[in-house]
Amino acid sequence: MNAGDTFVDGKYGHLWIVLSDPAADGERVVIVNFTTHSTEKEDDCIVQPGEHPFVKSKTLIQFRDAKCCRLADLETLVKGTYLKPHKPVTVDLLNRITSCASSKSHKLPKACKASLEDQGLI
Amino acid sequence: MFQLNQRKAVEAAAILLRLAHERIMDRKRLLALLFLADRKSLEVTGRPIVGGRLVALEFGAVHSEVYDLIKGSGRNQPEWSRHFANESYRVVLTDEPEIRALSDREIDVLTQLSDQWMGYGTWDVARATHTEEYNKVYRENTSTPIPLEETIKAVGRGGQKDAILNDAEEKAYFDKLFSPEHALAVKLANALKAKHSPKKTR
Repeated sequence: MNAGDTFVDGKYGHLWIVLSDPAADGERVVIVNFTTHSTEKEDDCIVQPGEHPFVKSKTLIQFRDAKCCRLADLETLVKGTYLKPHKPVTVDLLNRITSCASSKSHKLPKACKASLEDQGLI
Repeated sequence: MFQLNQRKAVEAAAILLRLAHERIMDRKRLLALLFLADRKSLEVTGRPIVGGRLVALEFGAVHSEVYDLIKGSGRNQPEWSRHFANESYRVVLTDEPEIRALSDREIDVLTQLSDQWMGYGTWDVARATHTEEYNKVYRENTSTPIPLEETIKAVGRGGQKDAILNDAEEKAYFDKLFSPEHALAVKLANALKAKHSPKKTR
């Protein structure tokens, strides 16, 4: 698993993106998801159709939903078919999402923020 | 309903107690501040910080599961008891938890509330939880649940009620899906399945 890899969950069908480098820190892998709706008053990061094959309409990333997981746990969920791998995001999109994460870092759970900071990503 | 995030409850209580004189606080005051923080967060972001069941008691609105933890009868009591002790009706922070589940934004809400109520007595803070939704459901000498729908309306987010309720369900699913406990359960289930599946014969 690498930064930029994606997978889709089986229940809600959200696309999850690996934001941090699992090789650098396999204990704190940061993932964020695409969603079409938010109860937040402001959008954190907007992704347009065409930026990834999964995105068919205006899509958002809410950094408050970021998760910080163990790489082994994510691999277990993939093996257990809870998560289905999809195409990785482009380097440009990954960089843009990371840049948004930096500007909205006050919304990230502290563990996710610390992992991204320790890797110099935000 | 937004399910209780016990890790956040531990961290939020620790932050409030850190800001209190000698890291000790009347349990009513702690419960009231947690309620007010959740309500503020729901108003501003559409989500509470701690979540869980809210009930209207005589002295005010409280998180019933956090109240159980303070009384020593919570569902995951050891996690709470590692960090807090009771001195009569007061809660003491005895061991600092690592802050990892809360965000800086949530910490700001807690800190601002603590500042806002600094210098006020416990009963003043408890009375502040006698909000519109509290007054609507409270019945004398009872512990009445406060429906999330009522709080959503009372904080002025009634127009987004369905979206917030759906978000609560979705959040509960993903919190569980990506929890280490779930990954362990899947791993064990896979191992059991492999052990009991018929061996292939040549």
